[in-house]
Amino acid sequence: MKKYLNVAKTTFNDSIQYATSIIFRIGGFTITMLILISLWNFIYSGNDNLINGYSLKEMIWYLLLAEIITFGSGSKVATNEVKNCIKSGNIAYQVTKPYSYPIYVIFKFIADTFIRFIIFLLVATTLGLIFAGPLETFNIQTLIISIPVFFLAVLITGMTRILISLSSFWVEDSTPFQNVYSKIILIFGVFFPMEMFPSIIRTIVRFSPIYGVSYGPAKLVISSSFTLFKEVILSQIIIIIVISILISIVYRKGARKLNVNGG
Amino acid sequence: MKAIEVKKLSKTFKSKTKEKGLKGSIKAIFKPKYQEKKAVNKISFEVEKGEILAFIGPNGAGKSTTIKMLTGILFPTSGEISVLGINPHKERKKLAYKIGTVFGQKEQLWIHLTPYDNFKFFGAIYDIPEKIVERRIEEYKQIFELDEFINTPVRGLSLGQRMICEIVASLIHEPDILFLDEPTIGLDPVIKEKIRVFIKRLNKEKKTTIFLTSHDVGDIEKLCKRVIIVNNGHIVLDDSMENLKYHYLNKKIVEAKMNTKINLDDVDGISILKDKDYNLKLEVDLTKKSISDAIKLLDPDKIIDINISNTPLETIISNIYKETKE
Ligand SMILES: Nc1ncnc2c1ncn2[C@@H]1O[C@H](COP(=O)(O)OP(=O)(O)OP(=O)(O)O)[C@@H](O)[C@H]1O
Ligand SMILES: [Mg+2]
Repeated sequence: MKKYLNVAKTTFNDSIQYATSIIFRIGGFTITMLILISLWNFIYSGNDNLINGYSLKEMIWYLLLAEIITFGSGSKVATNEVKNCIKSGNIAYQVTKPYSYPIYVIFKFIADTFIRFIIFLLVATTLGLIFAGPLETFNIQTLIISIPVFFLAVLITGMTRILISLSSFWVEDSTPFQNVYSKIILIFGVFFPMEMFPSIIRTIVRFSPIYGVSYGPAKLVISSSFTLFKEVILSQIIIIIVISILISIVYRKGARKLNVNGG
Repeated sequence: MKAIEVKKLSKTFKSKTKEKGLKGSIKAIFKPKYQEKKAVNKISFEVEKGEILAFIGPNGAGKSTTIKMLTGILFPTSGEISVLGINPHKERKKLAYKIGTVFGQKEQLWIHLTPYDNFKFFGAIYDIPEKIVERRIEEYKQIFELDEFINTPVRGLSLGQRMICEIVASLIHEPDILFLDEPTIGLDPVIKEKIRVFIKRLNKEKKTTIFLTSHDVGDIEKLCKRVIIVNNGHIVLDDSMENLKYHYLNKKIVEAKMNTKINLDDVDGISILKDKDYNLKLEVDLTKKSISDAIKLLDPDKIIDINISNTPLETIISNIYKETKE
């Protein structure tokens, strides 16, 4: 365990060096958010109607909160780094080290995500306060129950991305799969809360990881519901267990057939 | 216990082949054809603790594949391996604490961090107390004169500086065996020499067993007492450096500067390698002729200067490569 904390510490140290690059992504994030906010404003067209139970304010907050997770967990550690490590054969070094490579990457991912996540959190909250105003139901209890839920949401995103990247043991390029994952999350989790979909899709979303990585956390903040908290946490834990098992199987299979290229 | 024991070790790679052009690509998707390549073919050898072994062979001979199996990276197709009594692919982690690996063509360092931070990191990975890590870094700093760049992020280092840091990073846990796969590739003679001196010292002071592959004859000649030559996945020679150098070919080179031009023809056992103006270069096959035969042939009275030497190791090795090409 101590060595993995060291991995995290070293990554943190490493990521500070290029933290400035995140500043540029904030620009893109802000512009995307402003476009979507004005889109919702247009759809609601100034009246106080609810759409599928969401007021305009709630809808904007939902969007922002869900986006914090997708943008905040966009660290390259879980995507390109794993892929390149496998493709270049540098994985050879990782295999000869006294740690488990998947756990090593997970800790790296968490540490690399830390600063980035906080930055996006601050930017999104500011946007929310300006363009939607504070949520009346939000209180200290909401804050406390949100912390573990958001943490697990980021962790699940990272682990899913690592799982997808591990396909590089077999396929030439895992990036298209990453893109498909991003699009699915964006459409079924971020842009529209699941209440907006027909009931079949709603059910699928409810029992898919989307529930744990975007709908659950975002809805939790809006509703401040303790019942929802229990449901979300439970489904997140189940997802994490399933993904852990998958990562471990896929990694073991991959390492077994590993044909380190070059040299 | 031996440092390394290998019995009938083989590795076969299966790779997809593809006919040329778009048609070939489409065909390859639906009906992939596989080609088998026996990269390592039933090799057996042993390495004693404290030995420095050169494991050499032409490109594609199977050297890297062997190292990767010995370090637990690749799973063998068949055969047995024991490294310090451990089966590498069954107990990778346990083995990891006891061996170090350097691949001249791969990278393990964190490029945004300084060598110092990197060394600290690798120390922690092996559960070594910070105090000891610091002491070891200090020691390596002296040996390799790291002062100049120990606080420069790795991305800013030259190839040679980086390679030295790669080696130090692989040694921070003081492994019993160090595997080096072409550690001096692309480096200048000064740094090469520094690395050789260091490896030698490491072997002497810490009794580290060294398993080295290199295409640089200097590395092999200056470091190793024993050589294993592989070709096409087979071991074609396993002998001491001395035997290889002095007895394998049983040939000597005689170079002479004459005061008049003399005309020579090849005789059985003495062949003329060079005959230019007053300079002659002969190769004497000691199984057929002696050195004095060669000197007599030249006519001793006409010799201004003479130099008798062994066949260069480089030539010996390339001859073995050629002879064993199948
Ligand atoms: N991942 C792989 N897939 C298919 N064939 C491979 C793979 N890796 C190596 N080979 C083949 O196995 C043979 C041995 O390769 P290896 O890398 O062990 O050679 P080497 O002795 O290290 O050569 P070099 O001196 O060029 O580094 C080569 O013919 C190579 O093409
Ligand atoms: Mg090689």
